[in-house]
Amino acid sequence: MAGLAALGIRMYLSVTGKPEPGEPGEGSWEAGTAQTRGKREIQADQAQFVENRAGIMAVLADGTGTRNTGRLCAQLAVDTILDRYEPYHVLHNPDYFFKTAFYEANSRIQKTIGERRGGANAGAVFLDGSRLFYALAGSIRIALLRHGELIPLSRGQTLDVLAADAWKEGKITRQDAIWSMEETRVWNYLGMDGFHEIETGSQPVRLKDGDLVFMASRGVSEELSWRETEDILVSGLPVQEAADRIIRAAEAKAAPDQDNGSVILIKVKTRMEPI
Amino acid sequence: MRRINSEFKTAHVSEEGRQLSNRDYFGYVEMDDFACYVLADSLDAEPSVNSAKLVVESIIRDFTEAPSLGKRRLHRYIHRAHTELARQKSGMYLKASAVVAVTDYRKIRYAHAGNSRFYLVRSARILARTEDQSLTQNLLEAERIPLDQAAAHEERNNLYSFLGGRGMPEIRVSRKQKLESGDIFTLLTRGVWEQCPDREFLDIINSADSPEETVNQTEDFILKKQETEDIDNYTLAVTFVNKTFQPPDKPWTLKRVLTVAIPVLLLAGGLGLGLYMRHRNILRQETALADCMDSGEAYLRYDNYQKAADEYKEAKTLADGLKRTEEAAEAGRYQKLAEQIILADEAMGAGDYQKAQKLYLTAKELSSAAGNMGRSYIEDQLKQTRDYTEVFDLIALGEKKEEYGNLEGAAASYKAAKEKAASIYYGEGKAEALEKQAKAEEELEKSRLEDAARRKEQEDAAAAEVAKQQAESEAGRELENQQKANDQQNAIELENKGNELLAQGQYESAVTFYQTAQAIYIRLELPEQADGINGKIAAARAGKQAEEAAAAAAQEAARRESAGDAEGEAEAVVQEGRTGTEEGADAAGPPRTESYGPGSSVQFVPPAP
Repeated sequence: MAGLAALGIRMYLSVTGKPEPGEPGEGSWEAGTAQTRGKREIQADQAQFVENRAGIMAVLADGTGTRNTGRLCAQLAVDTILDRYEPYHVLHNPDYFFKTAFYEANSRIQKTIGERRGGANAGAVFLDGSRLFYALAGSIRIALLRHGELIPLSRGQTLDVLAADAWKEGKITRQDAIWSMEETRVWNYLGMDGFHEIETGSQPVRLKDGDLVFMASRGVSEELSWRETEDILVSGLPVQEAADRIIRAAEAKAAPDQDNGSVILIKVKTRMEPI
Repeated sequence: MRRINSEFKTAHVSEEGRQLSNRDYFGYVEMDDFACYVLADSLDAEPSVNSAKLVVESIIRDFTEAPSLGKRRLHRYIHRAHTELARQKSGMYLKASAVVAVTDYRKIRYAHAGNSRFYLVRSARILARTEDQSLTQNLLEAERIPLDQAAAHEERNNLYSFLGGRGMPEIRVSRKQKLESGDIFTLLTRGVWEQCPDREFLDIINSADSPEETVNQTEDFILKKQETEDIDNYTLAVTFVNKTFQPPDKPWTLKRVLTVAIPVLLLAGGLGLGLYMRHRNILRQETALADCMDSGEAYLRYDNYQKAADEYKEAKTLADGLKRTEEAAEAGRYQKLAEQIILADEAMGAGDYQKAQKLYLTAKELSSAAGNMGRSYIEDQLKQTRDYTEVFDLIALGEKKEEYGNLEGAAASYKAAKEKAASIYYGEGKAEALEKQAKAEEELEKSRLEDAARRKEQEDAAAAEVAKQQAESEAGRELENQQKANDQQNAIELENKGNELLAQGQYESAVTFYQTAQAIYIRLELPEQADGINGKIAAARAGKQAEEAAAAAAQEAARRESAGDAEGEAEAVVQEGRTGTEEGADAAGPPRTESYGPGSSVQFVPPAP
């Protein structure tokens, strides 16, 4: 019952999303989420928000694994991160929070699924009113629509990114790196044995009025091109309507093997001046 | 052909820098008569497509199809590249910055959109260059704070105009610039100008002898920084104009002479024709002006003011066109005069004579300013307005009189107005006056008849009053007479009663009745009857005295009885008393009755106590 009530609160917040005035993390936003099962039997994506005095935290997890293991992993990831976040009044070090929360989620998933194969790509975004922090394990697209342009924030823990970084560090040749550019498999995810460092932003993104945060799992990001997504987001629709439109557009592609797709949008309506 | 007679040497370098892939692109084509150099820099992060390459290929293709140095053509080349980028639907929106230089080996024209640059270097300094289409404010801000991912992205594409994307680029095309031998022009992307400032770049250009050397030295300069800085893709193209195309001197052939002479002759002919036409037109206008002035004057003389106004208006237009101020002013004056008279005539026609009079007066002033033209007409009209006003005044006077009830005076005024109107052949006024006069006279007649009727009525009333008074007096008289008759009857009855009493020997009461009757007779002014009663009263008094004397004699007799001789005397006295009474009764006469006609009644009035 308690879990259902908590879920109810979360969904409610996902629609209304308004902090009490005068509280830390002051700023207002409008959030919306939408999902599609794609061509899969089970919806193994989880997309949820929690809003408290510290700000708003959105988590999108894309579970993988046979039967309902994926779903379980995604649910565990989301619950672990959001449960840890909920009691905060002020989140001083979001990067540290992300690191510990993701580790905890990873270990809980491992303990829960045991020998079964499975895991979750998870992305989390935290807005404290003036800044944006994000963290990522695996591949979740996180981007920011600003001045009509969709700016990518997350790079993804995929092999192509890893290769590009390795080339920059001089570990591999340019040619090797270029050959790896087509390889988009993930090399890290929650529930993986030997979990690696998560991806976080090099520094927090200073928000501007009208910024729109976009999070999507593979079912959306692989179906819709960057340009198509951008076109829907700049059309100025209300946030929930835009999220629905994105899902409808992804479904309209009718790809034979469309993955579960989820999208989270958070529109920054007013922001607090940075301290 | 020009290319052979000129010497343009180009060298270029395009490298990825510290990036994984090179998304800059440079291409050029040198044709016989024209050459085109295109440099582009991809601004998007789409890994699958090189936008810069698309742009360069598009522009070079369009240029080779229709080479030109024209401004619009150059603009079109770049705009088509923009549409080509925008047409690519997959992946991200493609965006690129581009700079293009086209030359015919003598002159050069360049165009750009975004922040790729073109420099034209002459005599060791930059003679011409493109301006970046950057939002500089953001750059300044970026210097102060470390850039987060979004801000760094914004800064990198910190342009308000570029090819591709959702908007329209602002393509800037330069003017044509003449090239000189020894000029150097260069195209470079952000990767170059960011790392190699203009001053250093100019030093390198000035010190180098060939384009290759310039390119190599610049690249060395950039690569020196790669240890410390994240070098972007860099592309540089340098062209040394060692010799521009000089057209060879040719002898003056007939064809060449004709080529020059025919346009000159045509121009001179055209000019001459133009001047002649102008002169002819002026002459025609002058004639028309004179005609208009003359006919205007004629119309004024014949009092046709509408036509005169039209003619003078046209004359004024012509004079203005010919810049003949004097004629224009004169025509203006006459026009005004004619229009004023037309206006006054209209007012007159509308029956507003006061207004017409004012307008005619103004027209009179205008006429004196315009050589007394039409003055007699104006005066005639003024006189007419005066007369008309007079008629109206008379009518108004009549109305006033009528209002105060002086109908005769009103009729007279109307008559005067009618006569005046008749004398000035003013039918309308006459008809009005006549009508009013007739009405006034009718009213007068009516009032006369009413007076007569009233008088008659008064007379009748007076007569009736007199008759009534007469009747009243007669009735009064009759009543009085009747009263008198009654009174007289009463008096008679009283008198008779007195007579009866006298006869009975009641002398005292008889006297009272007699006196009452006498008083009535006196009041009824019947002196004879009153006097007649006097005797009766005297008889009654005598009777009384006789009675008293008899009583005294009786007393004396009684005493004489006692004395003896007193009897005879007492009888004598009683006898004497009886005689007196009989005489009184005779004098009173028999009781009188008088008849007062049939139906008259006799009332008895009892005597006063």
